[in-house]
Amino acid sequence: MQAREDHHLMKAVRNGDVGKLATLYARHQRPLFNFFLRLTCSRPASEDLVHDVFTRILKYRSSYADSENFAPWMYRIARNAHIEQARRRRLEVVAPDPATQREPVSPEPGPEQRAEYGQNVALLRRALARLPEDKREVLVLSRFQNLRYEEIARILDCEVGAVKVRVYRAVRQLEQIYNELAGEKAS
Amino acid sequence: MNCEQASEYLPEYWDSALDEIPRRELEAHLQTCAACREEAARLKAFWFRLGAIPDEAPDAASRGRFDAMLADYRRAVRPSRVDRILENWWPRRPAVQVACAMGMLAIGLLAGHALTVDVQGRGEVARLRDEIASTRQLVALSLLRESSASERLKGVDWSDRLPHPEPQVVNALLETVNYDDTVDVRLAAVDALRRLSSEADVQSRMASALPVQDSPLVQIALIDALSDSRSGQARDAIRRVAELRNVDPLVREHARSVMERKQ
Repeated sequence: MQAREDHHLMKAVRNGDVGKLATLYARHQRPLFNFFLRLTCSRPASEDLVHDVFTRILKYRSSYADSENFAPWMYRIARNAHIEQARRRRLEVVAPDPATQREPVSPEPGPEQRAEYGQNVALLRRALARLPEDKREVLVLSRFQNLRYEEIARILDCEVGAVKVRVYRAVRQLEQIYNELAGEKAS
Repeated sequence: MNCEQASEYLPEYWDSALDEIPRRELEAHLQTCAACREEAARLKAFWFRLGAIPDEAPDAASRGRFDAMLADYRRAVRPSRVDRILENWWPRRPAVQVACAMGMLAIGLLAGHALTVDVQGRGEVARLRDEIASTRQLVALSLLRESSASERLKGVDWSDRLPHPEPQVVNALLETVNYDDTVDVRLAAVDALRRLSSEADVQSRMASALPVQDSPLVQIALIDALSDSRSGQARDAIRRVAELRNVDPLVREHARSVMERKQ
């Protein structure tokens, strides 16, 4: 339902009603920000990339075809923006920046549970940051961005079968990294 | 189903998104293969554990930044006040438009005839204009060779202001498109060359640059610049990119949509 609305909104933007882009921004700013945050581990870089994506959408609105779906089209632009930014700034994703290390609030706020939950999240984030970039990208797209495998295949310009294999390999490697980090912490 | 095929279906299986036939085949395999069963259960738990990474809210200020960008864009595409006044003032009937034009022409001729012009003074003004134009060309060239990207952007801007850029400036712009490290500078150079895209040499070198560019944004800008021209060379270059497999899908689609519009 939302995909169809997004498509109509983007067609209106393409045809000159650029004010409709504000609605698309309100809908997609947060998921897009979190997509970049999981890739770059940097809040300022993610804010800049979201802005860059919407600037590009406005600039290249005429390239939006009737046969497109908005979200996969937007993530293709997002992917290009991230690749270009990383190349330009030689952005190295090794350790998450302190701004992303804030402890999230536990749904059950007992002190012990909250501490354990926070440690688990911090460990998962560190593991995700250590995952090779191509695997992190496919894993984030499939696990967090609410996209179908066919859409991810279009974003990454590959076969659907290849996406499935990559997701499986990524989650397997991430689990290994997570276990290694958990082992280091325990010892 | 073997172990390798089974692993391919696991993430969809965990999300309950697997179609019925592969789901049954996968479950049959898991019943017979203890290793896959153990791994599937372990990774499924980890897959759901990943959901603990919470979403974060972007800074509230970023919305203001977006609104400002959108307002700037709208201002840039809106006709200026002078345009709107002229639009209202200028008569709509063609006969009246012709009469107005003829009247203005007559006034211009009479005024020109009436004014006494000092020929020597006019010569000096022309020489000064030439010198200023030549200085501008030199400034543009020297800025284009700077190491700082912002200085090179200024160089592109200077070259864009020249009414008739010399061949050296055009050549420097084309080299910027091909070799500059910064995408923004390359994009600005393509924009500056756009008004010259009807010239055969410029067109030929833009067409050569199109398939070898590593930035999809620059490729799209080159396609737009080439699409201004009606020559067969420009059309062929766009068509070749539309058929290339190793270019970015966005670029390919843009090239296709340009080709369709031109047909």
